[in-house]
Order: sequence, then C-alpha cells, then structure tokens
Amino acid sequence: MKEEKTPSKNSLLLNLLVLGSLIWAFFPIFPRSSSGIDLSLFSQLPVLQEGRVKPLDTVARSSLLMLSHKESVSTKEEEIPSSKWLLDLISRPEIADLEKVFCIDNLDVLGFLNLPQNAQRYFSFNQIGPSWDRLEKKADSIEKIPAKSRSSFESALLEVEEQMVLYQRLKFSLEIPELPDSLPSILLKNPQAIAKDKRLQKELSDVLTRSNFIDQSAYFWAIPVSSGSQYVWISSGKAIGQLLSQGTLSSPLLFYHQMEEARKTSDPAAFNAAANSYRQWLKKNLPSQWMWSRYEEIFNAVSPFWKGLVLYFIVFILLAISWVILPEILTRLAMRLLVVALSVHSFGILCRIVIQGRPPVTNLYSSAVFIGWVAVLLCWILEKKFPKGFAAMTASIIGFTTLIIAHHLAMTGDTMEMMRAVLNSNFWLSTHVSSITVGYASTFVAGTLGILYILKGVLTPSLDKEAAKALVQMTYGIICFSLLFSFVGTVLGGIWADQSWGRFWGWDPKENGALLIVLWNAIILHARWGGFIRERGLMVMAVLGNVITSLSWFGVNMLGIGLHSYGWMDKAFFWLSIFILSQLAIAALGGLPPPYWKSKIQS
Amino acid sequence: MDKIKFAAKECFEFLSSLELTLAGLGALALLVFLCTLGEVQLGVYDSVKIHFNSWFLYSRPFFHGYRIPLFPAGKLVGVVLIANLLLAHFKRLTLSYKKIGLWLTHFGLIILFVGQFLTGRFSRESQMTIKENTAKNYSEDPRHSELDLIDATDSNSDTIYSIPQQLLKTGKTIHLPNQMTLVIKHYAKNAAVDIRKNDDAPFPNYSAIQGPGKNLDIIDMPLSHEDNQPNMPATLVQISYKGKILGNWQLSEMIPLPQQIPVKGKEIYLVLRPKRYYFPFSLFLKKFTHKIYTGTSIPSRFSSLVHIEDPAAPLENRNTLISMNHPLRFEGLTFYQASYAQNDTVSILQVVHNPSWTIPYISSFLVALGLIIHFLLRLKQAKFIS
Repeated sequence: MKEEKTPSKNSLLLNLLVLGSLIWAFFPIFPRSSSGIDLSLFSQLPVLQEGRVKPLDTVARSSLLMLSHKESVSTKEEEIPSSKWLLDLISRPEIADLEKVFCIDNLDVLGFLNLPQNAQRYFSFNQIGPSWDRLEKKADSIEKIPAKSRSSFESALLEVEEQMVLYQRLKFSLEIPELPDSLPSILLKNPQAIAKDKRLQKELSDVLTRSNFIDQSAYFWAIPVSSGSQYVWISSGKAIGQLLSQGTLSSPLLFYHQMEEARKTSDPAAFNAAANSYRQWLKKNLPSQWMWSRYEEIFNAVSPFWKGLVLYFIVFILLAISWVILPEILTRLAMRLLVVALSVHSFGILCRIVIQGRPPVTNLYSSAVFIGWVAVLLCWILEKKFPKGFAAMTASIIGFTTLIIAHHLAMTGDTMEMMRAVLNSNFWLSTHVSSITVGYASTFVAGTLGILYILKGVLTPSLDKEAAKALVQMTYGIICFSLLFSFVGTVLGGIWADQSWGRFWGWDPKENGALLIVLWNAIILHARWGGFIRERGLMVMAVLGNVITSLSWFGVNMLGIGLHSYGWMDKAFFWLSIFILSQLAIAALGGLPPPYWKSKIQS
Repeated sequence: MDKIKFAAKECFEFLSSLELTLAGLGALALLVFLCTLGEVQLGVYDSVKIHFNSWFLYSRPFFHGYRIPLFPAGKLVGVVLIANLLLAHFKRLTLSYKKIGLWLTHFGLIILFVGQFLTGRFSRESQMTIKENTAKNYSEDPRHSELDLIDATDSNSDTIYSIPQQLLKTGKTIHLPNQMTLVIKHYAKNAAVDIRKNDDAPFPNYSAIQGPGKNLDIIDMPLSHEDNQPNMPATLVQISYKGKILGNWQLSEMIPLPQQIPVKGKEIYLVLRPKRYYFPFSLFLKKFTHKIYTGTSIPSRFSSLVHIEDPAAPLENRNTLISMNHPLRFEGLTFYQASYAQNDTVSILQVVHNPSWTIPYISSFLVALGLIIHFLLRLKQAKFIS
C-alpha cells in the first residue's frame, strides 16, 4: 500500500475521478461507421411501431434484446451494434441470417430443433430455418393450451416461435418488391395498356400480392405519407400498393429504395447521400417527429440506466472496502460517485418522461427504474442527516438491484409502450401509481437498513451504540414515510377505480398487495408504540417488509399464471423465491438473542 | 358485585388493548393474503365472500355437513377492530393538539370501515347492454337470475311475476297470485344447453316438454368460478292453471326469448333471465367508439355517446358522452364504460347504485391528513430534542 498522500493532492485526484466519471456517465456512444456507411444516419430515422413514433435505433435495440437478450451481436471478429444488424437484416438478409442472434437455452427445445445440445446458446436463423414448419405446427397446437397448463418446454418452444416471427417481420418491414422495369412507366403513362397485356397483368398482380403480404407482416411502418394537412404512417408494402394503384410515389419510399440499392451495390457514398436526403426531407416535413426521434436516439446512446448500474456497483465496492481500509477518502469518493449515479439515473427518468409524455411509472419496467431512483434519493437525504455510510450503502444496493431487474424486464420489448384505454390518464398515473411506487421504494429502504443492522450486528463487533441508534432512527422514520405514501397511494387507487369501474375497492390482487404493505407498516408502528418490539424487533420486521413488498410488486403478477409460464416469468419466479428465502433467513438471524450477536446491542 | 365490576374492567381492558389491535391487524393482513391466493381458484367474488363477507373461515363440511369455524373472517375482525379503536380512544388517547393527527387518522379509518360496510349492504352492481340506435330502460345483474312469468293480456302494460333465483329449488312448488302454480321439477345453477341428438333418450324422463325447449337437452355443469364466465342456470318447470296441469317447460338463460304458455283468454309468457332493475328513464345509444393506436390493436379510448330520455323530466333530456374514467352520474345511478360486443355496435355499461360512494373520499382524506399532521409534529419534536 502506498503511503497517505497529502489531503490537497487527494482531493485533486478525487475531483478528477469524479469529473471523469461524470463525463463517462453522460457521454453518448453512437454506433460507429461501418465500411463507409454512417450508421447513425440510419438509426436516427423515425418509424411507427406499436403505435409510437420511435427511431430505428430503438426498434433495433429492443428487438435484439427480445431475440438475444443483449443489445449487440458478438461474433469472433467484432461486436456488431444493433443498428448495423438491423440494416443487414433489411438490406442484406443473406448475411444477417448467418448471425447467431437467437438465444435458446432450453435443452428440449434445442433437441426439437435438431440443434447441438452443448454449451452453445446462440443460433442463427439459418440453423433454425430447416425446422420452421415443424416449429410452427407445434406452436399452433401449444397456443390452444391455456397458459396456466403449459409445460416449460412448451412455453420455451412458443417463445422461440415468437422470436422467429418477430425476426421475419423485421426482415419484411422495409422490403420493397422488385418492380419489373417497364411497369412503373406504363402505369403512369398508359394504364389502359395493362388491360390488354396478360403478361403485364400477371406481373402487376404478383407485385400487389407481395406488397400486400409485406403490409400484413411489417413489424414497423416506415413510410410517412401526407393525408390532408398532416402525415400518417403506412408500411412500405402499402406504399407500394398506393404507387401501383394510384400512381402516387411518396418520397420516403424512394429514399429507402435508394438506400437499399446502394447497399446491394456496396456503394456507401450513395447510401449516405440517400439517408442524408431523407433526413433533410424529414427536417422539412416532419420537424417535431424528427426531433423526438433524434432525442430518443441520444437517450439510447447515453444509456443512462446502464451507466447508473455500473456506478452503483462501484459505489457499493468502494463503501465495502472503506469499512476495512481508507475509510475517510473512500467514503468521500463513494458519496460523490453516488451523486453522479443519481444524476445520470435522474437524467434517464427525465428523458423517458419527456419522450413518452407520461409520468415516470407506466409499466413494470419503469416501476423498477423509479423505485431505484426514489430509494437512492431517500438514502441520499438520510446520509446527509446521518453520515455513517449506511444509507449510502443502502442506496447502492437498491439502485443496483432495481436497475438489474429493469434490464431483464426490458427483454420483453419496447419499454415505452402505449397505455391501454383504462390506464390512459396522466393524472391518475402520476398521483396513484407514483405514490404507490414511492411506498414500495421506502419499504425497501427500511428493509435494507434492517439487513445492514442485522448482518453488521450478528456477524461483526462493529455495530456500536451510536451506529445502531442512527440505523434505528432512519428505519423508523422511513417506515412512517412509507405508511403515509402507501396509504395515500392505495386510496388514490381506490378513487381511480371508483372513477373508472364504479367501485372503490374490488379486492383485486394488486390492490390487496398495496393494502398488505399499509397493514404491515401499521403493525410495525403499533408494535413499536406499544413497546412490544424494540430496536431489534423493529429491524427484523422491517426486513420482513421486503418480503411483503416484493410479493405485492412482483408476486401478484405471477398469480394465476402458474409456475410454468412465459420464459422470463419462470426465471422471475425463481429469483423472487430466492429473494424471499434470503430475507427470511436474515430475519431469522436477527431473531437470535443478543448474546449470540458479535456486537453489543439492546434487546 | 365487585366481581362483576372486576370482570367488566378486565373485559374493557382486553377490548381496548393494543395487543388486540395488533392481533386484529395481523389477522386482517393474513386474511388479505389468503383471499388473494383464493382468488386464483375461486375467482374474486367467491373468495371475497368466504374471507371477508362472513364471520368465520370454516373447515370443510364433515359431520352431517356441519363445519367448524377455524379463524375469524373479515366481518368479525372488522367489528373487533372498530370496537377496539373506539374503546382505546376512550382509554388512552387524550384530546391534545399533539394527538390531533392520530385522532383524525383513526376517526377517518372508522368512517372508512363504516362506509365499506354500507357499500357492501346497499350498493348494487348491474350491467346494461345497449345496441347502437336503440334505447333501454333497465340493467341486468349477470350474477343473479329470475324466473319471470309475464302476463301480457292487457295491451297497455304487462304484469310480471318475478321469482328470484334463491327460491328455485328442485321439488319446490310455487303458487302465484293469478291462480297459476309452478312445480320446479329440476333446477341447475349452471347448465349447458344442447340440441337433442338422440330422440330415443329424452332428458330426464319428462317426455311432455312444451315449447322451443322440447328439442333441447339441458346438461348440468359444475359451478364456474371464473369472473368472466358467469353461471348459466336452467330449470324444468311444470305449470298448472286452476289446478289443471298445462305441461312442462324447459328454461335456460341460453334461451333468451320468452316462451308462451297456452292459457285460454290470456297471453302468458315464461322466461328465465338475468335479474332486471328498471329505471324511470331510458338511455339511447347513439354511437359507440373504440379508438386504437395506429398500427396496433391497443385501445386508446372507449366511449359511448348516449341520449338520456326521461319522460318525467323532459328538461333532463340531453346527449352525454360516457368514456373510460368519465362516468355518467344520473338519478343516484352511475354508468361506467365497461365493455363492448358485436363488432363495436354494442356497448356494455356498468351500472352502480351506491348511496355511500362519497364516504371513501372523505374518510381517506381525513386519514391522509391525520398521518401528515402526526408525522410532521413528530419530526418537529425530534428536531427540537436534538
């Protein structure tokens, strides 16, 4: 170990580190050019998918996450960014079909598809292709079985079939069928000629059939066409249909056609020129949608939640080391990095709010992100009041865990989906959903403080009176806070239900889960006020609060779906069980009488 | 005398104790948990009935169908908690400004409990299914049926004799005031209806079935607990008029059209259908709208444009738009956009009659206010001490 440096040098180094991490955290990483093609020109282009206008970059990232559970394709030679992969899939499918992008880890499914059952998990379209007919037939029969009673093999097989469908839909989304050379000019100049010519009729009907098929199967709609005073989005197939039936050629179709031609003839300059012209066209005709799409691409390129995840992990490691060596300097560094993490986390949430035009929590994914954010913010405030490192530790643990959970939830598709009619109310989303989520976040904070108290107290002699007192005070305060927010959130939910279904309380599993949190916090507080529990009891009950909150956050979503459900829920169930068991074990540890604790604590 | 006083004091001590509060809250939490698990198998309606709308959780029936109570259920726990809360306030909590938050919170909770009790007692939920360009003046309860005997002899108005589902039991005889008698030969709470395939095996041995039910088989089915799959009752009724047997009729909710009963000089119909609630006004559905996000099947908005037609108060007649999160409140009833059918030409409205609907709003405001005040006062106190 080097000898201690002078404080000034130390703080200079510290500030440099913090500055460096700040720059790293907010620095957007755009896809690099690949063999002369400017990928970011392509990935910025807006398309309509699932009812929302988004950049192709988002489509590429979320589709690849669904297929391979990663945001890029790794080959032996290079790491292919998602937008490059999508571009290949659209313009040079024969190359994309060789890329191993399908993640399959169910051995029975691999056997069914005649694929090697070894350590390999990634497969290409061409490897699965030969079994497609069997897969489709089997999937049809599985779809008739209710989700509850499907075996894990059946759910996994269905997942692969859905991935294959998604892959092919993506492939068709920008397909522009070859037009026989003579057809367009005849159509425009002398449409009557077709009625006389059998060969032309056949050609025309073939193209129409194909474009109709493309329209039906397109995963996203890429062509904006003017309709009255505004633009509406249609698929490339439909645009071709319009071209053939009405003779209207939309400029975006032409630009995409030029880009694809350039790809086929390996002419990157022509590709960039076409993409650039389309970009200018968008700036002129669809300025606001172009701008939002651009913002979203920057948001994707910053990847704020991924950066936050890494930073929370570093903070955790620093704080853990600080309990052994260099306590002062490491804690200082950790606290500053925590602020950097919180700010990039906040930036991510803010971007989502602005891009989506919705309050922060709209689905399970965003609830995970928001729970982490609220918890870290609460802990940061606590740490200011009780600067002992416990709250900072809690912040790093919850921040890291919730962002990991969010990362896995993102594998089910675009995380900024449109809101169904009953949820289509920003007022209730921002009041009810946000306060419930704040309630979840605060019970997790109280529970994690409880874990620190128990582990430190039982396993080490380091939990002195002062530290214990600080931990207990923080936990107690947070439980009060949590009771308030979960109660208010639950009641607001009741009022929303009364407004939309005509009943204040309907005993819906999600409502029950929220009520359980309220009841549990009320039980803790009454037990404390009545003197039935003291420091240790409070902490043990706070840890059990983690169990209740996780059940109400995730557990109720698994009710009725059964244990052999969709792939990721299977895994989620496994991890939820592990989490609950661990919390019960820690609570049991906390239940040990004081003589067994290494630290001297109050009973 | 002293003994009685002592016992009463003990009793008061117990009922107002914080131990009982904790036991009650714990029991409530356990019930909520069990109820949620129960909903998977039983559906919400039945699980809530077992766990909250009763006094005890019972064992399975074993001896002559007797069941023993195993655990207090929602009603008992609720009553005990309210009694405990009221008594505790007498005993422990002094009226001081420091305690004002707690008073508000607990007072709010009592109102909330009472409000939920009143809602359970007096609220009524039903559904109204209206086709576009038609009007309706009643709603139906999909969970309860009734056997209606309609006397349409008078051309101006019908007389309807309604027999609620609870009275329909196999073997029961029902005498109606118009000298008609109904014998329930068979009754099933849930049954499927199928066209009779084999004429040789009429079901059950009642060969003389009249009306459209003649060619149908009614097959008893196990009770459904799925919330979106209501039970479909069916019955076989023998009807007599002035002591003379007219025949047997098969009825099911699957046969929605009333069947005519041949009585000389009268026009009598019989039908088994969802229980109806008639209103003094009617709603005319002008247009049902089902909007989706472009390129998806995700609905963004449902709405029904209806015209209120009130013959008694023509000034009330007006157009109104009912949409998700924007119900129509009219004459003590609330109409919510609930669902739709038949290619978006039929709108299904949830109709709720709940005189105590405002109570949760008031009570939860009080509780929240109380909690905020209490915690702020505590925070101030803590700061003051440190």
